[in-house]
Amino acid sequence: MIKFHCVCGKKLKASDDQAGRRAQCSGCGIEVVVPTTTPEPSVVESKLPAINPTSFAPSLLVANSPGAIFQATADRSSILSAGKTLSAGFDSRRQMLSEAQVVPDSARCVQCGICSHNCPMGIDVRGHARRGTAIHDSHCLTCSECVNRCPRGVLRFEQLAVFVWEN
Amino acid sequence: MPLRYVIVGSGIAGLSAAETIRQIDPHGSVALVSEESHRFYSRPGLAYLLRGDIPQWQLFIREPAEIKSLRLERINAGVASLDLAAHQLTCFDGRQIVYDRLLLATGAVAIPPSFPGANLVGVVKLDGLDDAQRILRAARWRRPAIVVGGGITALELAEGLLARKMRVNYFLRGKRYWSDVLDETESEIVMQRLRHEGMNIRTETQIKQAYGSRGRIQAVETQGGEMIPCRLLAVAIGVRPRVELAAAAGLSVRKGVVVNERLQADAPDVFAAGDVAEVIDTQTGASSLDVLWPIALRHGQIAGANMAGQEMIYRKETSFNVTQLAGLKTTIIGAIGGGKNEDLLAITRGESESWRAAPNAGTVTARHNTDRVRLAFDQRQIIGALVMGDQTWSRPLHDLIDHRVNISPIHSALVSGGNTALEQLGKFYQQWQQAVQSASKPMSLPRS
Repeated sequence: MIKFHCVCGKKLKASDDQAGRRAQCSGCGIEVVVPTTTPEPSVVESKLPAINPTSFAPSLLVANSPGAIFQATADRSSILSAGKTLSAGFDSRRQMLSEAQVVPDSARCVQCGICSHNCPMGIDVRGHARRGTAIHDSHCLTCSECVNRCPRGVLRFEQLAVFVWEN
Repeated sequence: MPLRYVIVGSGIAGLSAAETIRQIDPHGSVALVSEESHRFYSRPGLAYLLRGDIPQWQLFIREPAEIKSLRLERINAGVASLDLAAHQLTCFDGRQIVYDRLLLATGAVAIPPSFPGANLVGVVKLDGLDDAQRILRAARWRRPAIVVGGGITALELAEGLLARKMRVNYFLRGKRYWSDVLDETESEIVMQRLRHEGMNIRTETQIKQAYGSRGRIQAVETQGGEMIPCRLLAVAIGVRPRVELAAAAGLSVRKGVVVNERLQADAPDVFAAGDVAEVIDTQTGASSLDVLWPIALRHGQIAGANMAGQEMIYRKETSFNVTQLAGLKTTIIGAIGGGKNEDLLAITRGESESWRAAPNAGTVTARHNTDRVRLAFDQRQIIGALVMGDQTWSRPLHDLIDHRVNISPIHSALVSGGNTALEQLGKFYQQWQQAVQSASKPMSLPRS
């Protein structure tokens, strides 16, 4: 008996001979792949960095989240409406919280450190930007401080690969 | 026999070279000679230090443990001369340093102003951390400051001084800001925002002389005869590569130290990287200077690899930069400018000479408030772009330009311009993206 979770949170179970096969979640209807064994509980990094209280500004979250921007300016001008088709927008803050990760474009980074300085969770965002690796740190709140404050447009939100379905 | 690598300069080119050499050759000794004694820092970040966005300690880009693992010998000295035959450097303090492989990563330095009084205390530039610290110490509430020059550095200085609560006057020799890269609309957007921030901008104003008392600046006189009080004069009229060491040693020097695509200078075992290097295109013989951090980084990696015996070729990509002008994020890619700029004697930091090479190209512009997209194109491809404000178009245009995507299918739509041009381009870009992705995607597996 294999026990696992769907991305919607519903607990699912399948018999051992169904390992690796595709099935449908009885909760949300999404297609899932049955894992080969019951997965270990996810491991959170043991060291929790200190929160930097001076930099956490909740008022910025709603106004600057990508979802809010694109909804507000959808019918404003050709730059933004034509651009809307190009961007990986999110429909809601909640979607961003659950599905997004911060992805750097290291070619643009000048290592100024504004991103790391403003991270409320103390993540080394600058280090990720230097190496060009997406932030998989489970401490990341997708609060968008780093994305918005970067003066060079290095950071953006993208959907986690697990949520991008191939047709 | 382990090799002795010597690097002159502690900027990003020198650091990247040291890191690359260490990755390839764990046994050789790596010495880094520099006039600066600071830990490695982000030079572009100095603008944000001036503005107060980050404290000084945030500028340092490597942990002490990372530096220790490089096993670097840091020598704090200025290099006076280079003896190519003897493979030896002589420092100003008399020290002599022998090398097997040498990298010149001496960078660029701000061109000093030429008017009388230019050496008074209070006349400042922004090259490195020492300059930034000097400016921070000298900035005083409500004292008058004047900024001259153009390009990105002038605004970094002006906005930094404004953030320090000085009364900032920006003197432009010409009629508008950065006239050889921005067009009139873009200059106007920037200048309006600067005025809104509280800056006093004067066009067609040139300084004739600076006056001081007890060696400290007190006022400037304009060409028009006006005397204006001034306690800090920030100058950003261009930079020049620091080629003196190379030139005196007999290396080939044009605008910078001439290097080939392996970043080798024209003497054995000598390389150059970063702002000081001028890479000559082997096919065309052409070159253009870039004073850009990511390019200096790349130079350092490639020079370091070649020094350590692993051959790597530098392939010039389209020069671009993303910066903030009066708080507006602005992407500049490829050949998008041209014409004259009276405020700059030479290229300034954060720029590429190749930006000014826009020949008779078609242009598409679109504007909404302070969001602006401008692109230059010819029959076959988009050759340059400028995106101000909303940055949605930044990456798509960068992709199209860098990959030299053939835009002839939509060329007529671009020529007709206006709103439809960008919409057509958006659809074209999406199709191109999908075509590229499906070409590299592996075959999808059948359902079980």
